[in-house]
Amino acid sequence: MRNYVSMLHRAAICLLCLLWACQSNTPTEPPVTATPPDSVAIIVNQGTFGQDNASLTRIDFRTGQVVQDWFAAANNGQKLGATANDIALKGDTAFVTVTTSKTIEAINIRTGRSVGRIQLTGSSEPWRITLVSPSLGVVSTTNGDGIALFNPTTLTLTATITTGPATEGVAVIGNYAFVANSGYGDLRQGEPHAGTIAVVNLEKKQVERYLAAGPNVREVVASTDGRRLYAFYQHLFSQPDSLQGIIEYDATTFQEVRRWRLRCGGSLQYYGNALYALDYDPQTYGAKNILRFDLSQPSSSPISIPLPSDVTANGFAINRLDGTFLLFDARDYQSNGRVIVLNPNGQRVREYNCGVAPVRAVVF
Amino acid sequence: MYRWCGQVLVVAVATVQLIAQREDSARVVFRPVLVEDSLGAPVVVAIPRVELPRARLDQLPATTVADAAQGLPGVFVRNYGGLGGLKTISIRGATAAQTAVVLDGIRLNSIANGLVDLGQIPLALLENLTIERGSQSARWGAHAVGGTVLLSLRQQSSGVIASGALGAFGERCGTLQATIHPGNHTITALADVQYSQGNYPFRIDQFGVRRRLERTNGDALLASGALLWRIAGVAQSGSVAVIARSSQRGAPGAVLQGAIENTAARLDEREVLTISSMQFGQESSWTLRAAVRWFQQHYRDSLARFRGPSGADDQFTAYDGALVLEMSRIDGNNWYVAPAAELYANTLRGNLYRSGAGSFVRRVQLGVAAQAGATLHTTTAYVLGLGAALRADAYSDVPSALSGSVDLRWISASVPLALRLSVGTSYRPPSFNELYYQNFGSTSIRPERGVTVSGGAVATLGACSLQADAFVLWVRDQIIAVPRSALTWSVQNAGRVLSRGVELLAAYADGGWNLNLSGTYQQVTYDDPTTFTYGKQVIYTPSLLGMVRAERVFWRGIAALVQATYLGTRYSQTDNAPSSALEAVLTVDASLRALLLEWPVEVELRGELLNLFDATYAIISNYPMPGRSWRIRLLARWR
Repeated sequence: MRNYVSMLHRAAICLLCLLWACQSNTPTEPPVTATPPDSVAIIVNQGTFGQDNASLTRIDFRTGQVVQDWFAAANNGQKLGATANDIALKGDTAFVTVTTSKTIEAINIRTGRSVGRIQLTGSSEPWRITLVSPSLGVVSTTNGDGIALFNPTTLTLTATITTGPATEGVAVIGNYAFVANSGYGDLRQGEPHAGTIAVVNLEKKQVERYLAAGPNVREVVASTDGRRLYAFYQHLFSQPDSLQGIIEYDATTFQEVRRWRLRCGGSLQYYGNALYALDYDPQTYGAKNILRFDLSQPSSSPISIPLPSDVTANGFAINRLDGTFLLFDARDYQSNGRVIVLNPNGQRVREYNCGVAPVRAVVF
Repeated sequence: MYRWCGQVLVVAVATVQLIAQREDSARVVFRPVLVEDSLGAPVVVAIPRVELPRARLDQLPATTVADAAQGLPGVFVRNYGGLGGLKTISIRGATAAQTAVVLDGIRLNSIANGLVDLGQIPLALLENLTIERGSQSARWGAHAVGGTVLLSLRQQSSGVIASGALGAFGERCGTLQATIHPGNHTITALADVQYSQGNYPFRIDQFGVRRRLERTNGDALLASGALLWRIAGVAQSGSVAVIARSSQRGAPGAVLQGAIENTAARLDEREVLTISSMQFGQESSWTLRAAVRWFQQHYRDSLARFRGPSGADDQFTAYDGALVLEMSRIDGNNWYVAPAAELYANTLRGNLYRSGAGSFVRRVQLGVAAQAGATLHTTTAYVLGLGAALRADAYSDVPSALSGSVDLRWISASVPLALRLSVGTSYRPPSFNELYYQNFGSTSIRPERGVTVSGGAVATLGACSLQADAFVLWVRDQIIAVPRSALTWSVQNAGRVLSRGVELLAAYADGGWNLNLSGTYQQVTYDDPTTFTYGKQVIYTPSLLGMVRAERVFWRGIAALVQATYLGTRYSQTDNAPSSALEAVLTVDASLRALLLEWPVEVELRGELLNLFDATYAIISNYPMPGRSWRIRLLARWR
């Protein structure tokens, strides 16, 4: 009985805390969440091309503490490198692709300390990264026209595979890596396999087939259940009035299932049986909405989630623990940016300063 | 429309004032109260300017226009390092494309990008380098937003001059020129070659380790030649100059952690420029200038894989033609009007112009202009003069422009003091790259517009002369590149910039001493209150610039020169984040020259030490500048 009363007391205290937390909804106050693990985000800031100013920003959502250039702060001022573009988590290690510096930096997410670095060579510049298993990671090597396989545990490169011109997005389903050969839009559109998705057998380390996509196919994401693959293709810059869109493939038969042809942008995300993408104006290249595609519907029109008007969206991430959006505001791409937290309806909850051109994030 | 009306009104009022003051003399010979840079023109000019004549250029530890201009008031030389690195001039915080570069009355700004690489113009070609500060499109046409660089071709009297130099990092230079006088003709032939391996060392952090690296792909070979012919007749005179230039150089990029960019990029340029001028009419009062230019640029980078498996291989060829007619002055009792007209035609053929524009683009520009001057008031105590200019330019591919300027000069007749005030408007048309370049250009881009208000004083005191000027420059519709993806940028008329500051130039020349001091304090800030960068310092525009130069001539033609150049803090990010600050730097150069032989051949030996204290710095982020370096020059003159 005493235990029961004690439990009731504890529950009441928790309820009061929760109510108190719900009151603290002013943008300047740090959020109080009911799930302490959902507390930290590491933001990847691209930096400016040629400036060697890529950085990481660490945001503790519970305390509101923001550490700018977290990597340098934790590593005696050492810079991350030039033009970072992606991040992936494996246990307590984050892997960050630093494109121009041609490195994959492995970082302890608790301390920010560098635990190792994979140095790519030649024209292979790491772009998008996905971790498959403790012994396999896949990174697209833009300008290297392929992918590189590496061992995240030993931090060693194991193979490189040529897939097509200007590889950008990469996703892995089962034994297959799906690699977007963008061709950089106009620049390499005439080359073989530009505008296709290469299907790479990771066991055989070779391309098995190419999926027709569209001009300038830049991003691929897999559904959580591994049954669907989604690809975003962008219009050619020389033809700004041309359409762009998203393609859904069956990941087992490699057949195109459906295609949305509309003027949407990149930053393709899959979350909760829905697909999200930025809605870009092809003339101004400003994003006005996040588009949400309900994939449970056979033919769904996207729902627009309006974005704040004072934002230059360079991408967004979805906090998979609470469903909020982390919108990356690059401002003018030549100054420090912002991370704006939006609720699922697009309302601004709060914002944090970060480095130049934030582009990706992990939340843990 | 309102802006045009305003400009017309300003000039109309000025014209009425001119006509109302007919009784005074039109040409006032001003008291020579100013000596610019110790050797300059003995008149007070309404527009702040610094003139470096040949005699002065010879004394500087400089080989190119960019070297010589460094440290002058209001001037910031953006230097990417090494002999082959791009070097452009920014005046009063304006961009390099907002600076007109004029050679013997012909604008040289590239139609492709609006720039002139002043590191590619050897000083040996020039008789005079003048830098005007202020918006002067009414006088010089397009690009004269922040100021104008005026260049004059060599005018050697007679004889032969040969010089050679050896320097650090494989530098080799040689110049040969000869002039003959058959009758009333003057013919000068000139050749200049400069070469550098450009492999200078620098220090950089690489993943936490301080390393000493050498600049790679920094070699450059610049070769220039000129043939100048002049005829001086009673009723007519004229000149023809044929200038040929060729350069082969590496185009190294930023030095980054883990990567040095453009290590295989090569830039080859070839250019032939012919400028002719003819003075004719009564007392040679009309001047007709004609210029034809052929310019070819070839850029290759086998490692630029984003352009394809074989990298980048771009080339363009430009043909430019210009006709400038400066008509006879119409003189009144105390005023004059000097009309002029010009026609420029530019074509560019290249392989990266957007579909729709094709690989060939052209522009035709017709301009008409008039300058006027008047003496408003003359007493025994002072002279008050007024100047005005108006110009209209029509373009085939971008909106037309109307420019005007008004200036006022007050010159004391009793004390060596003059005051000046000027207002000028200016514009810069979009370059072909900004209009048409694939993945970058936009045909909806409008010209940039600028207005300058400038006022100052000029004084002399014994052997000292002093110029002090204050200015405000507004630029709107500034064309800026905005990224639209990680790899592609496009241009927009999104910038407004406010620049204001003070400039000081002091000179002392006496008793074998020649001292010069120049300084600029400027605030160049983004001026759009709707943006978060409002009030922030524009990237790569230092607030403080300064130069001190001391030269002492000792006995038997031995002279020593020391100059210190200060470059203030500038930012590489528009929000002026502290992490983006490039530290202020002071560099010191020194030279010692001695006349070894005076007759029959004048032989001079010179030693130069550049960056004497080995300062580690970069003017542009991640483009390291050379550390301490040396040069030995031997020069021989046959009079």
